[in-house]
Amino acid sequence: MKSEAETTARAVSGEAGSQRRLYEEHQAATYRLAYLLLQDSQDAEEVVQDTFVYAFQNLERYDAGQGSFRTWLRVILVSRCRNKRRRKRLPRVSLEVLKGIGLTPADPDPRSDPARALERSETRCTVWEALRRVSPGARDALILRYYEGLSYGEIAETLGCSNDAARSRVVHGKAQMRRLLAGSQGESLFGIEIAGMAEAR
Amino acid sequence: MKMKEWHPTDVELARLSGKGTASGNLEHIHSCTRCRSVMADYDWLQGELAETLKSVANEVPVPQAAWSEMQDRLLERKHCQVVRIQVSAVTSAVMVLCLLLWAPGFMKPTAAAQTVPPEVLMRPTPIVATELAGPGERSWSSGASSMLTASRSDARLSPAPALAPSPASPDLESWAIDGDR
Repeated sequence: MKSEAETTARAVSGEAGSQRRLYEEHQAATYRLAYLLLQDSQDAEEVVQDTFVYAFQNLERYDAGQGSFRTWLRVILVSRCRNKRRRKRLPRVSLEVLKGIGLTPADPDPRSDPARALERSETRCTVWEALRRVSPGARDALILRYYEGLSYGEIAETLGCSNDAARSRVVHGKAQMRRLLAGSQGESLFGIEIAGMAEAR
Repeated sequence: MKMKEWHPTDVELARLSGKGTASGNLEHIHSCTRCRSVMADYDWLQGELAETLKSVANEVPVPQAAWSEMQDRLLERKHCQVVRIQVSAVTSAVMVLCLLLWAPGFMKPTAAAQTVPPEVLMRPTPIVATELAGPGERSWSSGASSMLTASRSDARLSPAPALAPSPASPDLESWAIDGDR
């Protein structure tokens, strides 16, 4: 079994078999991240194709000493997702539509209480919907932090900003999400009354 | 009692929730129900966000990794690059040819301009009032240096070469007395 470094080195030298291996190994993860960032399957597919085409055409620029192939691919992908989003504003999809296309997250434990499962599913849908409404910069940072599990330094490298800016985007994204989830009626998913808190401030 | 009137902002609490509580705020957060509740919200949000993202990513149908399609795209891009280089080379060649055919004198002025040396103009010798002034009289040339006011023959010995002619009209502003400005 070849190591990733070896596969990448062979791919850089132009070996089609290694390029194919890299593509097959990273395509699904890249697509999932693209989908989370763009929230559109067609756009995600286009961006993933573009990302791999760019990566394979510029493989000589990849420096294994600076990070893994996945990290390099992620930087290309995030940049392309941002370009795509700039050209096309994200469509607003309601919760009902999300449920209709089968994106409602299912409860992983089938033995659990169905009512509880439904509640969890609805909660996740609401969280997903709130994430869609967060400003794009903060949303990207949140996805990289809580889906990819990156450190602030890695987020900064991926987004091309400083560590402080990366941290700030995550923090503001969380604050935005909390406000969105609190709802306009003073009711909150967190079970606290926001209107009362506003008075306390 | 005074501590409870002040609360960290939501953003500050969100910042703290990510890395544990800073010592300065610890006392306040422990004693403040409101801040503890906001911190709990952020902890819940982080967990729920991670689970939601994971869940959505796992649910989304991933298209098949079609390497042949990718190879086609790579070949297509390579072909496009080659065509682009060829087109730009042909265009450049045609443009040069057109210039030579329709504008044969195109190169001449440039060549002429390069061969003719720049004309060196001699600045006229300065005429200084001190020559006419007597030994005890005050000189009129207020701005001139002692070298310039020495003699006419000295001035002739070291003519200042200049590539461009001196300005036709004098700069009137430089003649103004300080008080007029």
